[in-house]
Amino acid sequence: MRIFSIIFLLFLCFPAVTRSQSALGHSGVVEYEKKVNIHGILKKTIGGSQDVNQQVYDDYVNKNPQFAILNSRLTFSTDECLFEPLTSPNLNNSTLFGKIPLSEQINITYSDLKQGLTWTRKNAFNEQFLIENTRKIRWKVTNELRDVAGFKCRRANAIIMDSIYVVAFYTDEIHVSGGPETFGGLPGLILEVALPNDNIHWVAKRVNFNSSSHPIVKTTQGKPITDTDFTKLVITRFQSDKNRKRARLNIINYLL
Amino acid sequence: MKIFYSFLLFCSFAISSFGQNNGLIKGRVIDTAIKQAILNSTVTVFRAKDSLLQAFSYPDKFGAFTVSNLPQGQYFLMITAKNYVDHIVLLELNSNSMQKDVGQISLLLKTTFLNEVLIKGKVKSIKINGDTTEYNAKAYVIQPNDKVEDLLKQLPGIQIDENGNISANGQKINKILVDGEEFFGDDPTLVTRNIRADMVSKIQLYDKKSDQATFTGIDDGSKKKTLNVKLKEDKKNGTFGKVNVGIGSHDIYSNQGIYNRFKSNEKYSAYVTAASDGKTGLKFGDSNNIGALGNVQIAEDGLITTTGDNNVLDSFNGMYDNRGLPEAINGGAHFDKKMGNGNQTINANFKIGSFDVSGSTNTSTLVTLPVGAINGSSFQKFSNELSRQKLDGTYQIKFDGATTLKVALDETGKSAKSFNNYDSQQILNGSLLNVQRRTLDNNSDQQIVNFAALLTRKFKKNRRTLALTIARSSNDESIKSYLNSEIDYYRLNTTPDSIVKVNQYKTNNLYKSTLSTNIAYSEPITKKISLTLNYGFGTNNSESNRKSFNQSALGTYDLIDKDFTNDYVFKQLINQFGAILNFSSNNVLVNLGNKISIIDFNQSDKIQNIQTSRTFLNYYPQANFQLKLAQETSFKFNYLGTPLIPSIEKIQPVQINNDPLNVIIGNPTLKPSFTNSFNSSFSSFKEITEESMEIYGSYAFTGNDIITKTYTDNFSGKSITNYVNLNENNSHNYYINLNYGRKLKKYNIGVNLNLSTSGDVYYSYINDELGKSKNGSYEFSLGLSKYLVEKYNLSFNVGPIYNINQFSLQPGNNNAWGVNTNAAILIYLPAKFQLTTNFKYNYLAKTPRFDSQKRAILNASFSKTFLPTNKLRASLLVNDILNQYVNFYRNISDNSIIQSETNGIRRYLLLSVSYDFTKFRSVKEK
Repeated sequence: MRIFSIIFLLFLCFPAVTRSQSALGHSGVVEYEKKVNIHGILKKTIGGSQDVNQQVYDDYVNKNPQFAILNSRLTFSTDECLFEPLTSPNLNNSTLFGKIPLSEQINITYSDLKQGLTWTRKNAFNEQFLIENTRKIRWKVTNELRDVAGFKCRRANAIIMDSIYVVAFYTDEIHVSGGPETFGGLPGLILEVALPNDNIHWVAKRVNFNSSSHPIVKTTQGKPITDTDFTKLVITRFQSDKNRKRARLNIINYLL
Repeated sequence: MKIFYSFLLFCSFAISSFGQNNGLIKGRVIDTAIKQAILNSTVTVFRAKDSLLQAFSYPDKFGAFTVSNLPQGQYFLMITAKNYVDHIVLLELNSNSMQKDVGQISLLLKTTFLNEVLIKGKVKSIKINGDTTEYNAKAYVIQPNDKVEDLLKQLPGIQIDENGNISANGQKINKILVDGEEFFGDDPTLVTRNIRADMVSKIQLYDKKSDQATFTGIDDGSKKKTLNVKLKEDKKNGTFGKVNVGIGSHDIYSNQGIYNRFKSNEKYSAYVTAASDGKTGLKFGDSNNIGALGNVQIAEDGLITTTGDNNVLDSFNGMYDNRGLPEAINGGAHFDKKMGNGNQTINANFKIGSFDVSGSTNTSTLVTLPVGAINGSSFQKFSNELSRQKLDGTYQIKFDGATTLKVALDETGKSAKSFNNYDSQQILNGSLLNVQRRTLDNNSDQQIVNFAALLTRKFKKNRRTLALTIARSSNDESIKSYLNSEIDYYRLNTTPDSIVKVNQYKTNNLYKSTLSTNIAYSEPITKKISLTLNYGFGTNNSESNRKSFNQSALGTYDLIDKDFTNDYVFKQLINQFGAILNFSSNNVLVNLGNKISIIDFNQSDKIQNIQTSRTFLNYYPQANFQLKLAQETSFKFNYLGTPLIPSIEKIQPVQINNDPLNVIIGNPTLKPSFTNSFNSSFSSFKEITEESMEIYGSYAFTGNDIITKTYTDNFSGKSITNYVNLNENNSHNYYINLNYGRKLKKYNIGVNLNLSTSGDVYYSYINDELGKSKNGSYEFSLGLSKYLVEKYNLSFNVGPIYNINQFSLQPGNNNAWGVNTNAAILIYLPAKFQLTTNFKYNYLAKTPRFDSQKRAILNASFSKTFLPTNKLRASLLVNDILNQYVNFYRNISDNSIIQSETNGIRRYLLLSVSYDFTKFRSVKEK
C-alpha cells in the first residue's frame, strides 16, 4: 500500500512540476507608469531670455510638480496584445504655448504576436492615423539584470531615430514581444524603458495574470498611412521650428 | 539635425534591404536532470561582434526551436528560462554551413548549480578594449592572505622579479594605481605586497599618457605602462594590513607594519618598515622625471637637461641593485578622498626614510690598443647613505561637466653621503703603467619642488576642447666633497717617473628652475576628424658653480684651483608650436602631426665673462594608428621622431677631476641627434579557448648620434673621452616580444610561451678608429603553472637564450648559448604547514673571451599558520641555501672587457612572525 501511495504521489508531482513551470500563462494585464520630467522638458522648449518665456516657465514650475505621471495599460494573451493609455485626471500639461511635448499619450498599439505585426493608432494634429509599424529597433542585449515588478529583466540598449538613446529592461518570462507605446522587438515583454537624455521613463507597476476583464480589440479606426509617410509628415511639420530642442522633442513625441 | 531627418527616412527602407538571409539555427532545450523539455524557455540570437539582437524564438512544448532568416556571421545563442542558469553557445554561420543544428541543449536548475557546480562558473578572464587589457581576478586562483603580487604572477605576459619590479611583455611597468588613484607614488610594492588579492575585482593594463595628452589626443610621447588595480565594491569599506617581525642570522632583519583603512570615498594608509634583507622598502630612486609629478604629467620635450650624464660618484641616487649590503628604514602615509559626488578629489602622500648600503667591488678590465693590451684591476669599497622625505598632493575639481582643474605640488628633500675608497693599477704587456689610490667623500643636499596645474574645458560643441597647462619646478642641489688621490705613473718603468697627488675640497652648487606653459585647442572638422593646435612657452634657467680648493700650508682648503673651478649660467627659452590631425571612428583611430620647437640657448661663463648663444630648431613628427579588429583584438602602430639635444655636460668643456684617469671633456659644437622610433603591438584574446596573444615590436634608428670618442694614452693609461656626432652611419636597435598564453583546461595548467629578440648596433671612436658593436639576444621561454586553492601553487619556467656580442675592432665574436630556469613551489601540508621554495638557475656558455657562467640560487621557507582564520603565521626562511650569490657584471665593448664582482646578500636564516588583519563592512551591491 505504501509503495502505491508513493507512486501515486510521484504521478501527482510530475504534472505539478510541469504546471508550475507553465504557470505564467500568457494572458494578463500590465500597468505602466510614464514619468516625465516636465520641468526639464519645459526648460528645453521654452527656455530663452525673453521675458514672456521666463514668466510662462516660472509660472508653470511654481504651480506644478516636476514630474508628470501618466498611466497606461497593456493587455496581453498568447496571440495578441494591446497597449492603451489611461486618463490622468490631475495632469496639467499645457502652457500658454500649447501642450508640453511628450506629456501626453497619443498611441494605442495593437500587436499580432503570431505574425509579428503591429498597428498603432496615433492621435496627432487633431487627426487619427492608423500606422502599420515597419520600423525595427536595433537592440543590443547586455548582461545587466534588474528586478522590475517582481520579474527578472535583462537590459538592452538601442539608439533610435539616429540620436535617441533608449534603455529597456525586458523579461523573457513573459513571451510577449511588446512594451509601452511602440517599443518592442525584444525576446520578452519590456517592463521598463527610459530615454535617459530626454527626461522620460516608463516602468511597470503591476503585472496581473489571467485578468480577462479587458478585451483585446484590434484597432481599425484612423486614416491609414505608412510609417514612412507619417515620418515625413512629422518632419516637414517641425522642420522650420527655430527652437531645435523643441523640434526634437516634438518629433520624438509623435514618432515614438 | 539634417542628418537626423534624413536618417529617419532612410531608416524605414533599410530594413527591407537586408539581403540573402537564409541562415538557420535549430535545436532543443531540455532540463539536465529530468531530460524533459523546459516550458517557457527563450532563445535569443545576437551578433557576436557587437551583441546586436538578431532574432529570437520561443521553443515549443517539446523544447524544439528554429531561428531562421539569419545572415552569415558569428552569433551567440543565449538560452534562458526561469529558475535555470543561462546557457550561451557561440556559433558561426558561413557559406559552408548556413544551417546549424545545435542538438539538445540541457539547462541546469539554478538550485542544482548553486549546490554543485558553483566553482565551475566560467568567468571571462581577459578583456581587450582598445589599448587596455583587463584581467578578471575571479578567473585566477587566490590563496588565503594572498597579495596583489601573487595574483599578478598568474596573469599571462606579466613577470615580477624578486625586487617586486613588474614588466608586461618585456616592458617595464612604471606606475600602479588603485581604483585609478595614485597610491604612495613611486613604490609599486606598497600596492602589490600590501593590498590583498581577495579585494581585487579587476587588473587593468594600459599605456597611461600624460593628462594633457589624454584630454587633447596630442601624443607627447610620455607614455607609462600602468597597472590599475580595481577593487571590489564590497571591499572598499574596511581595514586591513599586516604586521611582520623577522630576525635572522648575518645581521639580517625584516620588520614591517602596514595599516590601511578604506571607506567608499576615502583611503587612509600608513606603513613603517625596517629591513636589511634587500627586499622591502628599497625603492628610493625617483622614477619620476622633472615635470612629471603626481597625477599631472607635463611633456618636457624641448628642454636641455642638465642631469644627463652625472658622474655616478657625484652623488648617490638611492637605487639598490643587489650590490652590497643594504639597510633601510622607511615610513609613509597616504590619503585620498572624493568629495561632492566625486567632483573633487584629494590625493596626498608622505614618505620619509633612510637607506644605507655598503660593499666592495672587484673589477678587472682589459683594454686592447694597437701596441698591446692594458690589463687593469681595481678594488673599490663603498658606503652610501641616503635620507629622503617627500610630500606630494594632488587636488582635482570638476566645476561643471565641462571644466576640470587639477593642481599638483610636491616637495622632496634629500641628503646623501657617500664614501668611496678606490685602489687600481694598470699593466701593459707585463709592465706597470700606473698605480692609483683614491678616496672620494661626498655630502650632498637636494631640494626639489614641483608644481603643476592643468585646466581643461570641453565646449558645447562636441569635441571642441581647450587645455591649459602650467608647470614650474626647481631643483637645488649642493654637493661638498673631499677628493684625495695619488697616481704613480710608471710608464713601463720599474719605479714611478712621476707622482700626481690631488688633495682637494670641492663644492658644487647646481640650481635649476624650469617653467613651462602650454595651451592646446581642439576643433572638430567633421564627425570623425578633428584638429588640435598647441603652443607652448617655457624657460629653463640653471646655474652650475663648481669650486675646487687645494690645501694650503696651514692644512685648510683655501687655495682655489682654477682649472677645476667654474661658474656657469645657462638660460633657455623655448617656443613650441604643434598641429595634430585626429581621425577616430568606432574601429580606427589615427593621428598625425608635427611639433616644432625653437630653443634659444644662452650660456655665460661668469668667471671668464664669455657669453655664447645657440639656437636649436627641432621637429617632433608623430603618427599613431590604432585599429580594433574584433571584440578582443587590437592593433597599434606608432611613430615618433625625437631630436635629442645634447646635455649640458656634453656641450660644456667643464673639467671634472673626480676620476683623474678617466677625463671627460665636452664638445661645444655638438648638434642634436634625431631618433626615429616605430613601435607596434597586437593583442588578442579568444574567450572560448582562453588563448591570449600579445606581440610587441619596436625599431629605432638615430641619425647624427652623439657617440663617445675615447683616446687612451699607451704609457700613462689615462683616457680622455670626448663627444662627437656620428655622421656616416645610423645607430639602431630593435626589440620584438611575443607572448602566447592559454589554459589547458583538462589538466588545469596554464601555459605561457614567450619569444623575444633584441639587438642594437652602435658606434664609438677608439683612438681615432671607428668601432661598430653589435649586441643582441634571442630568448625563448616556456612557462607552466598550476594553482589549486589551499593545495598548491606550482610554476616553472625554462628556456634557452643566445647572446650576440660582436665588435668590429676585435677579432672573432663573443656569442654564447645559455639557459635560464626558475621554479616556484608552494605546497600546503597537513596541520597548516606550508612549504615554499624558489629555485633559479642561469647558465651562459664559455666564449673566446669569457669563462662559462653558472649560478644556482635556492631559497626555501617553511611556515605554519595559526588561528581559525590562518591570519597568524610563523615562518623560517633560508635564503640562498647554496650560498652562491655574487653580483657579477661583465661587459664587453669595442676595445675593452670589464668584469666586476660585488658582494651581496648571501645565505641567511630568517625567523619571522606575521599577522594579517582584515575587517570589511559588508556593503550591499546594487
